[in-house]
Amino acid sequence: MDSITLPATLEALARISAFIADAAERAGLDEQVAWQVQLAVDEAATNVIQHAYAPDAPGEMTLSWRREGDCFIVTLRDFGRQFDPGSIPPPDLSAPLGERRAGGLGLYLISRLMDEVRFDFNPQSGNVLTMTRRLTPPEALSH
Amino acid sequence: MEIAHRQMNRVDLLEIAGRVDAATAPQFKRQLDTLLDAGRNRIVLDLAKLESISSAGLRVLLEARRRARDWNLAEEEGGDIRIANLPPRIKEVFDLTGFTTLFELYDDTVEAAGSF
Repeated sequence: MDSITLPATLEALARISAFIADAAERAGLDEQVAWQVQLAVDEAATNVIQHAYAPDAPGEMTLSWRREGDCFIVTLRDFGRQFDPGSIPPPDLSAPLGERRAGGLGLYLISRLMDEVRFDFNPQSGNVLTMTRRLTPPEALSH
Repeated sequence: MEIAHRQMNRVDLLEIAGRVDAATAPQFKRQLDTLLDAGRNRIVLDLAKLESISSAGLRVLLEARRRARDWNLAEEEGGDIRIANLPPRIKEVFDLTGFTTLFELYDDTVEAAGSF
């Protein structure tokens, strides 16, 4: 288990990317998977930075990772306002240019790049986002 | 992120290198808006050196292309934002988000510039 705590500001994104790159290497992820996890974590951290805290009073967020068997698990915790993933409408990926909503892609990307995504909230532990990526593609598993 | 700008006769070429995330996307947007504000609406983006792009960067691309094409201009004056040298990883993000069908993609900048 390894973790990093940072102020929830945009300047944190480059450090988070480097932290996950290092974690991925230590956990033995291949380059392609590492890159996908990096993007998912970038999107998740951006959500916290932009929505969890009041803009003039950014709090902190803590990013942790661990390897459990075949899974690479990343958790992102903040103590800002409760995040309700159900409040974000899914993007319409087939809409033409003139009708495409410009936002709403972040959460969708996280769900596509990771195998499991779970949001938990309680007043004591704040928002905890747990993202899991299996290291072996399902078709490669022996049955 | 670094942006190199080359103004050609009819087309502007922007080479985007590094990471376009929520921290750097505003600078990317400013660069595109500056060109569009000046009426330079034929833009080729060379993404050969783009390492990653998050949804914040995709949003900038979408809004800029809308601006470039949405002018009430005669056909010959109409603009667009076209993309050259899309790296495989970035193409994966484009595929996931449906952006592959939202943009015209070219194998190199010469072909992209010549398409205008």
